[in-house]
Amino acid sequence: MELNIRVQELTRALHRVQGIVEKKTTKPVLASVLIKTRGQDRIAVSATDLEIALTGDYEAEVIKEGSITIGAKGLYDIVRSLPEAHASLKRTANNWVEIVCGKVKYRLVANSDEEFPKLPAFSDAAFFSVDAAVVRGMIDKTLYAVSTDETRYNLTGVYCEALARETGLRMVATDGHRLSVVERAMPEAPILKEGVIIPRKGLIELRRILDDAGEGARLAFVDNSAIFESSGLTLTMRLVDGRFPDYQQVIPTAFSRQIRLSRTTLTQALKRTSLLAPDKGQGVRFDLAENMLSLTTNNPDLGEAREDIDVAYEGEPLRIGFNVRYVMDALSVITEENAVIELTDELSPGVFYGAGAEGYRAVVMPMRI
Amino acid sequence: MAFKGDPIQALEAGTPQPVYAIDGDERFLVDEAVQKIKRVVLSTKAVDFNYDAFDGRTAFLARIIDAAQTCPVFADRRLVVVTQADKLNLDASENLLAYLKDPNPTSVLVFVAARFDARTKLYKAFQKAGAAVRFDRPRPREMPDLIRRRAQAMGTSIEGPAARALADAVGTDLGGAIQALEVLALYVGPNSGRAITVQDVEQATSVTKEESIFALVDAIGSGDHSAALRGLHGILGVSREPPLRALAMIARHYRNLLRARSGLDAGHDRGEVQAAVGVPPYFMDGLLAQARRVSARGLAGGLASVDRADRVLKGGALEPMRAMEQLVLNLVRLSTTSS
Repeated sequence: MELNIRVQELTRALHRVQGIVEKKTTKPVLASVLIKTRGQDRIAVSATDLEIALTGDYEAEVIKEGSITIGAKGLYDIVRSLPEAHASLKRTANNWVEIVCGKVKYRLVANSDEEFPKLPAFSDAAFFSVDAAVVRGMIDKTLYAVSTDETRYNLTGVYCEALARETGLRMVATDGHRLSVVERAMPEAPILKEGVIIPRKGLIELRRILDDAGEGARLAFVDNSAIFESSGLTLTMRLVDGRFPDYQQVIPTAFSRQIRLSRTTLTQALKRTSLLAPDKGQGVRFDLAENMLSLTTNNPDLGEAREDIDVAYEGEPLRIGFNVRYVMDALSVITEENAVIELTDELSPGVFYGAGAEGYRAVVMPMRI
Repeated sequence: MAFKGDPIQALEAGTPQPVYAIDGDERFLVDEAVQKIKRVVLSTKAVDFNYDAFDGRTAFLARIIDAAQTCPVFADRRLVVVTQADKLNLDASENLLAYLKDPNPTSVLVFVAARFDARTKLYKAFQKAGAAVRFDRPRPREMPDLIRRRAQAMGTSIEGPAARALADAVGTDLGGAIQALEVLALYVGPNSGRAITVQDVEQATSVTKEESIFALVDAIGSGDHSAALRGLHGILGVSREPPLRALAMIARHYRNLLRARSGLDAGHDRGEVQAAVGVPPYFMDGLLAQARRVSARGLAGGLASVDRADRVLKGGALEPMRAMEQLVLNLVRLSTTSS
């Protein structure tokens, strides 16, 4: 294999796979990237951790066809520090790789591509078109609520299902203490017979490449995998093999109290009051009265913080506690300036969403303060 | 061992307590207690939304308390289980003490550990709340009766001599006894209407060999003649191990003890000793405890006795059971004179 490539192009290719390659692995090949020529003017750069696989197509001048497997982190560090705009890569005897860029020359240990895992191919996958910006927004609105507890594997991803009544997709995430659900219309009806769980790591990578995705983004679900394609990139994610809980039962369908308030004001007030919250325990008390919400935290070691904010509320007073981090996470993905909070009593979940916005609800379980 | 009047048994009657601290050597009963709490506390609805599990080695106490303070969702209670709770960083233990004084009535917080330090303020707080449950291994003389009661609870019955034979076979490993009872209940047939006999025990059970050798060497090390002989009969009689194989297992165990003892005498740490001996990590506690009890010279003497027994067995000078009994009594004598 021998090729010339723009340093910027190769840096971009290697940057994209850094989140996928395994840093601590018993299989060294999983810390490697596979570079393979495709015709005379392109190369494919692939990485996998056996759960997620990403292949990207990049411009290059191919002098001699072939492929190589080489440590992804080391190569990335080298390539991004190269001084000139162009570099050449050449595989020599015994799987050495020579990188030449201006007066700089590296000779690196690499491996044959035979050791690299065979990447899944889904030639018969039934893709449906998606709007990349919409999917990105949906991931943003759910990813924060995914559980990081590996023992609860069925909560370690975002649940995706097709909307029953319209052409659209619903994403749901929960860690057992809060839940986020978002629905959005899609250009084409999702080809998805039943709900699937996309793993957190896969969604983080999908979120990254969605930033670069242009027109023609499409998604498919085949067997136990989800495949995303856009702008020469193919991301394959193995789905979580688990049963997502019946989330509908925890979304309140009725409420007795509705508060309208500035999202920014509430966020800033929460930041200030949480400064006195006990270390890593972040309970904040909401005292609701007519057109007034008081936030209070109490830390026996430090003291007490209280802030009153103006809200639009006409109803009975209520005292309820929430984990401040959960509330701030929910508020952070609301894009509207005003937010709505729906409450029933001190033991029932609170629902947060943007005023006037449809299709997103964040449910947060209350806590005893 | 906790049975009568303990907080776990009280679960059957009704409301679970808001906190529990469960520990003890008898892992089977510890696990059984946690499972029982799970069954009672978690309803079939919204289980995923009302159950939190933490590992004490990595969890933050504040997160655990936050989880316990969170209201349940469409259920009466939330369950928070902390395993390896004795490894929990308790820098902010006053927060936990405050929680124990006023626990959330809609949560059940369960701390599980191999053994809590009973002298700590925290454990005393659990005790004060009536929530500390310790499942220690039963005494050997309690085993036959416990086996009979367990058999009854499983809907089967076992004859007295069979319960004693099973107790001889498993030692004080109640979990092993219960597993064996499950096999025996199937062996005699669920609808046969007959009790488990000694013959059933001999034909359908197998003693965990490593456990049995451990128990035998433990008894030797503590100078307990009768327990040692009982352990030997369990291995040769009920498990029907050939004497030469039993001898090989005893020899291997003594070689491991000698390696461990030499490592300890040389000032090596636990990891180095384990690497030298080459046994799984879960055997190390027991092995080190045994190795500390006898001097290297005593262990070398033990190996010499094993060598003599090998020649006696192969030469046919003594009936195999007598030769093995003689070996065990020799080892007991050596351990009591060379520790």
